Amino acid sequence: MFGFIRPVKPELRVKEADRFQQVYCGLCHAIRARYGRFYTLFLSYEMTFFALVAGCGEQTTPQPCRKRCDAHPLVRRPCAPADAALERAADVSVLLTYHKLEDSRADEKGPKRLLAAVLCRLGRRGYERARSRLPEEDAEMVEALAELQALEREKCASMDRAADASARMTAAVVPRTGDACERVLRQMFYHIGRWVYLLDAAQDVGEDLEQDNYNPVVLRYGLRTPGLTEIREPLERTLERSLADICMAFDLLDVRRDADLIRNIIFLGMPLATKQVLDGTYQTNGGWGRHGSL
Amino acid sequence: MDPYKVLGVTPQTSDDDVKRAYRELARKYHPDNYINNPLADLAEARMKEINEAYDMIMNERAGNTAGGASSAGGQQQGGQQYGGFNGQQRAYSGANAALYSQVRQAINQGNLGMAEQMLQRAAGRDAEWFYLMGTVYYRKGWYDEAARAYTQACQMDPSNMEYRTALNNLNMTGGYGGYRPMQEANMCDMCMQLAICNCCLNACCNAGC
Repeated sequence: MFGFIRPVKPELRVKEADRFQQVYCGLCHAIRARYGRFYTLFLSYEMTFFALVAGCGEQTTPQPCRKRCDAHPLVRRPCAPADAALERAADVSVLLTYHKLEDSRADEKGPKRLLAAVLCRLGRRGYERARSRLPEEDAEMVEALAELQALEREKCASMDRAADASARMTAAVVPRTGDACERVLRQMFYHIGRWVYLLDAAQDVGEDLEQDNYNPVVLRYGLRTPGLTEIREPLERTLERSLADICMAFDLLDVRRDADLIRNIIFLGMPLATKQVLDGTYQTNGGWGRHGSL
Repeated sequence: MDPYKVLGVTPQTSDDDVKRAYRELARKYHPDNYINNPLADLAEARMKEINEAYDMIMNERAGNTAGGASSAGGQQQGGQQYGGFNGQQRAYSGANAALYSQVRQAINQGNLGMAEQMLQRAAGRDAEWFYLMGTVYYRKGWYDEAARAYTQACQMDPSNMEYRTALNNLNMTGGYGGYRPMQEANMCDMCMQLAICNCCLNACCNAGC
């Protein structure tokens, strides 16, 4: 996964920005405690967001604890203490990271493929531990990923069909509680997955055209040049529908903590990322390269 | 149920502010926003709760706890099932007549897999076929495919209002009272531009004065 899902910092209150950093660090520590250092390298804002949403039903926010880590060996940084939501986020982020690596191993060519193969090998043990914790989730992801790879091989020109497979993989992270909350979260994360997949495809149009890679946006609109200006309107409309569905699902959740922070990400951060990608200004605004601090 | 909690107000809140809070929530959970949304039933339940809470507070404040419910702020609940999709049998004729009414029924029951299967079996593809297929896609959240199918239906039968409304709804020109994320992002941009213009003007004026 990538870094499209992040708050808009100028609009955050200081305590909310602090809380985001604490959950980010807390997730990193949770991953390290459960799966070792390797998987902390793939820590993402997406999973921080998931940890926030998974924990938003809790009544109270526990006091942050202070911990050192590899990235900040000198200062003890405040971290959210591990709770059920963070542990779940750690488990599913290991599953998603591993499947992402496997996907690159199948797709990429040359040195990237080799790198992915090495990383897969290194991550194998952690993945197996995560799979034994969440077997159903993993089975769902494996199935969706197989479908996605089949669609990519046959060069599926339907954006929605390809996005559907990817979105179901994302929706698999939702806890199986069997109640209305699960339905709401599934709908929310399905559309988050759809949005991320399509936005990522839009972002990669230039690169994929150059290297002749599979890209659903290129195939759907028959693009020959990397510019998005001509297809901007329909693309924005379909992305906006997913954003609206995410918002409407979120409105039906019973949110007891971090509401303003999550709202910032959904209502400001995600539309902003959409706009930047479609304008072609995403990379110049920092892209997804910056880790750790917002 | 604590009606004050539902509306997010306190017993000390003034009548006007309670009304404002109620309106805000009713706008958010209005059935029109959840047309073709798989969570429409949950939004409807929430809307009902909000209406009841508002009625309870207003009745309590009017002093007649016995009831005689005021029709909550004139809001009307969507009478159609899940809003929007016309589940009634249309007067179909032609080869697929029976099939199309079954498909409509399946869509209304939320059985999208079955509706899609039946459509794949249909003999020939007319405007109605594309419209129904578009609705299946719409419900699944496949908005690009839905737009294509609806556009096709409109092209094949330009006079049909049902098709046109569906396409308009999808493109959010109407019946989308809720939330327009991208417009807000673009508005932000406009505000910024205005602010910058304003700064420039101020700078010019100050320099002049």
